[in-house]
Amino acid sequence: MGKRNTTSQRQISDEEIVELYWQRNEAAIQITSDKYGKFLYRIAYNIVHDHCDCEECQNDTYLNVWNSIPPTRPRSFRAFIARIMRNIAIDKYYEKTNKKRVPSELTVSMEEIEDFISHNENPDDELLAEELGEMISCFLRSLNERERYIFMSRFYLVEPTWVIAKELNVTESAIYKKLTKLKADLKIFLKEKGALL
Amino acid sequence: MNQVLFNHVMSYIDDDIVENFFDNKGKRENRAKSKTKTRPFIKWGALAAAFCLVLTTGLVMIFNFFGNSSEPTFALPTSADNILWFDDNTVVSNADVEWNGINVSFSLYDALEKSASDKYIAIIVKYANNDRLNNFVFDNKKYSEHVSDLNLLEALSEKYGELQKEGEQLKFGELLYTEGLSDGTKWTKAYYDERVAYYGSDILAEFIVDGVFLAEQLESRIAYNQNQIVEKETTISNLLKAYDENIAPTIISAFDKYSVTYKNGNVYLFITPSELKAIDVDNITDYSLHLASRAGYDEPHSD
Repeated sequence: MGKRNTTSQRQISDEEIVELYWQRNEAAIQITSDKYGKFLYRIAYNIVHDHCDCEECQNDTYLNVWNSIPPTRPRSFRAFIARIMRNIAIDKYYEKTNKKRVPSELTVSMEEIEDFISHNENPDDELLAEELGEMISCFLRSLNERERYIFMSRFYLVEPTWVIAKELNVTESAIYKKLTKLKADLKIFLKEKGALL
Repeated sequence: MNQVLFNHVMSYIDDDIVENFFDNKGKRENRAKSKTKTRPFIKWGALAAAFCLVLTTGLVMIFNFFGNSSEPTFALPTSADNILWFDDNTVVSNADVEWNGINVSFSLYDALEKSASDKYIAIIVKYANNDRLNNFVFDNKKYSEHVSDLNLLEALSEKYGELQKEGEQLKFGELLYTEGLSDGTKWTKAYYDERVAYYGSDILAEFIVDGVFLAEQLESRIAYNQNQIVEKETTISNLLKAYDENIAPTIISAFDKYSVTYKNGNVYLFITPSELKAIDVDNITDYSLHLASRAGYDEPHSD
């Protein structure tokens, strides 16, 4: 309805997958892998940039999802597994960077925000992370769709800038400029909210 | 906020934002969403836009004269009228929902629920069903065929982009999973097989010859493919403009009892929630209503 899609295919819904997890049906893992394997791989690859690590992260994600549902019944299954994969991949990234420098888009994207980050919070503080997550969600809601897309592509999905530029059919420098502006806006926003000194 | 925390915090972004982002990503990948957004009259210029406006205004007048004795009581907006538009406070969602038996986008649904019943809202009217568009022929092909062509080109582009990153490793062939490379890289056989299947033998044979990865040739091919994508996108963009012009008179005639106009490629309807609730249009479920943006109404934009 109203959308300009040309094809449609019956695929098991996320609600049905969640129901399988609740029934402790192990097919849920295979179905998750079939439906979201590539999606999860992409998230992991942008962060860890290593195929074996990606596979490991994927397996850890499936196990984590299996252990989390039940009791959790996620409202958005895709966002739920993306969050788990992201956290696992980031942990893997830091585990590796403690030993050596790893070429990753995560390194680059974090260098882009380094000029406004301070170093006095405890990264393990879940409450703080949740509060800041809410603030950044609020900031993201204040952006237009295109800006939000660029921000999320770069800092959530950790996409290379050339990929974002290609998707939006603009030059890579246009993406850099936009990211610079978004970064400045976020800095102001977080300062106003008292999240930055 | 330190880097570790920032990364951690990004995992706490609200689900709906994440979900919306992935939806958009998927849509961009199949180009449907971007094409519906990108309908500037760049090449046709202001003259064509003005012509369409005059033509449409004329049509509206004719329809009103012959088909409807009741005059619209609402003047079409000028630059600063107090009308509700899509803005920074709008809930961003293209999800289709039903509001009093009418197909509306969720953004519009939210606006209708939150607005005063006598507040005018700017709405874009489209057909709900895609069949008309999918079968619309332009440049000797249907829209659905053009989209399919574009999807193929973009899939190829993605493969080329991936090969740029992996070509230097793939040139070692099975060594990648048997012995591994001197820099410590080692793939599993399953992953190797998956990647080889992903690229296909034709692409691999073209860019990896006798153990040498032909990076420059791949770069040229990427540029060529990118040009083809741009050409196809332009064709689709022009098709959508032609389609919008084609369907506009019919939509306008259906809504001619209300304040309706055609501008910048869209049919705009200005109506209050109470009027919309009681709208008198034949087969209203054939249409899909979306909250309009002021920028899109005031001037053509190029995404």
